[in-house]
Amino acid sequence: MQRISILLLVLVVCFATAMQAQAPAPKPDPALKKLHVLVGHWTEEGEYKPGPLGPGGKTTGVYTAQMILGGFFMQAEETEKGAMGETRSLEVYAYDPVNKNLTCNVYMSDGSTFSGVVTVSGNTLTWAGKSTVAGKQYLFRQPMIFAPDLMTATAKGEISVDGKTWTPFFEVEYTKAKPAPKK
Amino acid sequence: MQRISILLFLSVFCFAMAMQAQAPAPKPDPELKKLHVFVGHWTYEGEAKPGPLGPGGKFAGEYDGQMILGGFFFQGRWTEKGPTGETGGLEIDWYDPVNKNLVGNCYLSEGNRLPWVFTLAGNTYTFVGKFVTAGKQYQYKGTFTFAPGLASATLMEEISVDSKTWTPWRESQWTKSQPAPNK
Repeated sequence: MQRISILLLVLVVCFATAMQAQAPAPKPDPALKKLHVLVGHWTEEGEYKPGPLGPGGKTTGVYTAQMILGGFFMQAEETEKGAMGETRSLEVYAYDPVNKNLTCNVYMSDGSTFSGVVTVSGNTLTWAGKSTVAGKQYLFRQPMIFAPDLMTATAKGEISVDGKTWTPFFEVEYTKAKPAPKK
Repeated sequence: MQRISILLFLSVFCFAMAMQAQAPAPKPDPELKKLHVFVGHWTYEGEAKPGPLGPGGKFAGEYDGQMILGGFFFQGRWTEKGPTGETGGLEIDWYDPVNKNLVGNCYLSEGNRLPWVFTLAGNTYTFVGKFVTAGKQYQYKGTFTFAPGLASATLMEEISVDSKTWTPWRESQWTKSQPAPNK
């Protein structure tokens, strides 16, 4: 009887281990596909408004986004030139399975950061969250409205310190680089 | 009188704008220097214990650390071969001026994002965070202990479901690549 129990235990352990080893590899959540509209190379031009975050002025830049790490995340790199000189940023997007939403973290070359969520409604992606600039926290929101062909978009950023009064921060037009025509 | 007021207002406004435009560029917080010990190319090998996160087994990988975005952030990227195949990740760490500590986000090719907080004591770096895998949340604790020369280290990784009882998960030995000798 004891032998049968041991044999049974060994079989169960082997089966459990085998099942664990054969567990299907996790797949990116389908919600991440909503970010694919950003993937590619974009040029941008726009204007920052004078305010607590700088003197404002015209800006131009480039933005490149790609899916990384097996498609579980999107990474974007942006370089902007404007009144404050050149700024660069790295953005990483993820799907949060607990809150069931898309998250975004932005790391900028002036040391500022953004942490928030991205929601999608029709042709509009909206960023909402907190920015930390020079040790001070601001609320930030930015709807980005895509044209029907998804090759151009307009983003309008706003900031707030209390979540009630919102101040325009920037307005930028994005144009996606067209793929080279086939020969 | 009205003319003087307008002139005064314009002077003050122009002065404020000029001051803002000439504001000294922000500098990375000195705390970030504590992360410089991770900069460079590392190789590592170790063993994972069988448990809820996988079947266990030996693994080996390569890790590249560098300061990015003007030195305000540390970026680590790695690839690893282990019992579940090839995996990789991206790590971004920075100084949080609001909470006055070193924090980071770790993005794993298994689809998890692991935000963490660093604590340092001598040659020991501990990073604690949370991640979700297969719908279940785990606490994570990594303890990185450097050898006196800072060219090798041991990483002990533990997991917990309640932050009280910690289970050993992985243990690995890290070696920093020596720069090529001058010819």
